[in-house]
Amino acid sequence: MDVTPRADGRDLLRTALGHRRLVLELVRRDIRARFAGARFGLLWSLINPAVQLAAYGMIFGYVYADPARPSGAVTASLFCGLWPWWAFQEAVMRGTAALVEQASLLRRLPMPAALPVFAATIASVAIQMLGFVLFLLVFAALGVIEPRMAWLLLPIVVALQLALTCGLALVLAPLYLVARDVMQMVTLALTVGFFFSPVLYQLADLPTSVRGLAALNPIAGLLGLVRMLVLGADRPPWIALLALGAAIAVAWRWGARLVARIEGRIDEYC
Amino acid sequence: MLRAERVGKIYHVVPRLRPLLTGRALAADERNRVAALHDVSLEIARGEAVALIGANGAGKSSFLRILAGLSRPTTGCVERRAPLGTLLDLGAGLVDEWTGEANARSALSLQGSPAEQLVDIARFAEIGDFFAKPVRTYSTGMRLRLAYALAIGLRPEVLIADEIVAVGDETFQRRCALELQRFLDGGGTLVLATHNLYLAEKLCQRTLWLERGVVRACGSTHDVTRAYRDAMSVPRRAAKEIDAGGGARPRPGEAAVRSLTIHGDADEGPSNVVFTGSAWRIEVGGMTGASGWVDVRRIDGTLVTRVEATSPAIELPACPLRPGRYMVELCEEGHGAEEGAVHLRQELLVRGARRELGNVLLDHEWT
Repeated sequence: MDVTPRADGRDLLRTALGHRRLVLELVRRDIRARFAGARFGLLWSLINPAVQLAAYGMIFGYVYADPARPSGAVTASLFCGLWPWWAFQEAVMRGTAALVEQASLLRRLPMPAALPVFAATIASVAIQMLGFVLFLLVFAALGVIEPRMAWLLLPIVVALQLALTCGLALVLAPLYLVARDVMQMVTLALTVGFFFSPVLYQLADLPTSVRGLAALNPIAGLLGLVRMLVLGADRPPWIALLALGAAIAVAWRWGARLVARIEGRIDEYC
Repeated sequence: MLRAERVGKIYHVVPRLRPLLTGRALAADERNRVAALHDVSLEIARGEAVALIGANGAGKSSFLRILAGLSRPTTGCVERRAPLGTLLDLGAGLVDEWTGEANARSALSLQGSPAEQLVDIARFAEIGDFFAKPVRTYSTGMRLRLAYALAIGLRPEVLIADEIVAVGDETFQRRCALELQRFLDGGGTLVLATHNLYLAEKLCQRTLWLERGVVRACGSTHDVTRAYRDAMSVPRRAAKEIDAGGGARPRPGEAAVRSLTIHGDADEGPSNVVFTGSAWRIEVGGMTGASGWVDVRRIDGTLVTRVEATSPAIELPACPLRPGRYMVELCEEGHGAEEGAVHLRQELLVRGARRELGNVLLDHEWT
């Protein structure tokens, strides 16, 4: 017998919107706690990716330079792949850990368990997107990337990214609460996922025989959209966009069920 | 106002994934289950103060969390009809790196309280300049003060509090108790888990005594705390010294046969039941030493009074002892023991309906 109340993704979204002030406060708390005591605070979330981007740019722009592609275009493509990937990676990991990390708060303050998961995910995506937009402007000023009107549509991609990461975190956070091995698996999956997703390369760079399979990765659709809007690259294949939509729908459906089952039970696990 | 009906809570020693994945409750696995609560019911009316007592691990905190809606009961249900505030897990949720003020702002915002209460919190926490310093620089006491101030800053209709008075130094503890009294005077409803029976007696009309997750007693605070005290108290000396039968136990080389008899009703035969306010008598016999005395102790060993045993019978006109369990001991000097040797011990049961606090009732008159 299923003893938990029925819940679906829409209910969860309604819950989050109904508590938007609380979610915002949790986001603020999350961001402030993350950089509290660090002298350069938020700056680290810019320095870190910038240095990594420079390193990847050096390897793919100079060491393994492709004479057909100018190094500026390589850096721009890496930028559009790496930064959204980092946002995805960080948001999934933080979102997965959110219930365990905020257990003491949940034991003290009555609130829906989904809220800390949303807050951790939103905070991660927000910080990374801030860096992304800042560097986008810098690249535009340096003439590496040509500004386009399509940039105004970027919030749609951010919304899709949030939807995907929130959905995954909603599934993973309750699992991590019950079985702590989950975080190791998530870390491993993200490490492998980094190379199996078109982050350092683009879908079009793959041999046609595996391109169809690679397009089923929801990240492929997401990164394809970013490159389309930012660089004017080709639209990602429909199958990639469909895969992204399906992943979001399935994750939210499952996430809503799992969260409903641990609702009010945090004290049984932490 | 607040009603818990047949609440039960089961914890699993090793959390299981299957119920999470399938949504089905697991079949009973006795070795992996800890029943923290079983069949606990409690109904609390508006303006009522109820104490929750019991040894560590009795399920007090679990029950409070369930009452507060922070935890879902495994069986039974809870009904709440008013906004409530909680004083549970004090100090949890404070961010070490933030200042007291930043923590307070964040907590107020999380609780949906207006930011103006920040001033009240600073005043109540009484940590002075430290309010503007990071929490990691605080002493343990200061952390708790801040946490307590944050909780009381809510001004809820129902307050669910756990062991709050074990916080801070004596002055602060007094203020906490005073604040709770003010909360009750203002019509607040309180559920308080505590080990401080005095506080329970002072603040609460009703008390629920939990023992290993089950209700052992529930009723008027005086009756329940008295029963609890008696059950919890451990006699002061090893049991082998006790001679509850009142018979003699001569020391080697002594021929004297000592005796200790209590007459609960001065005119009747031996009985160790005495009523508060009525006359009683203690009879001793077989004293050999230079001097002897009779001690009346509370069951936990606290000396209530010592009477010199100069003659074989001590008449006590009006028993001033509060209802409860006591020990009457016959002691004698001159046997090497520091306090004098205890020769005989009898249990004394004091009965009565008096509601005053303390060990004894002093003869008094209001003028």
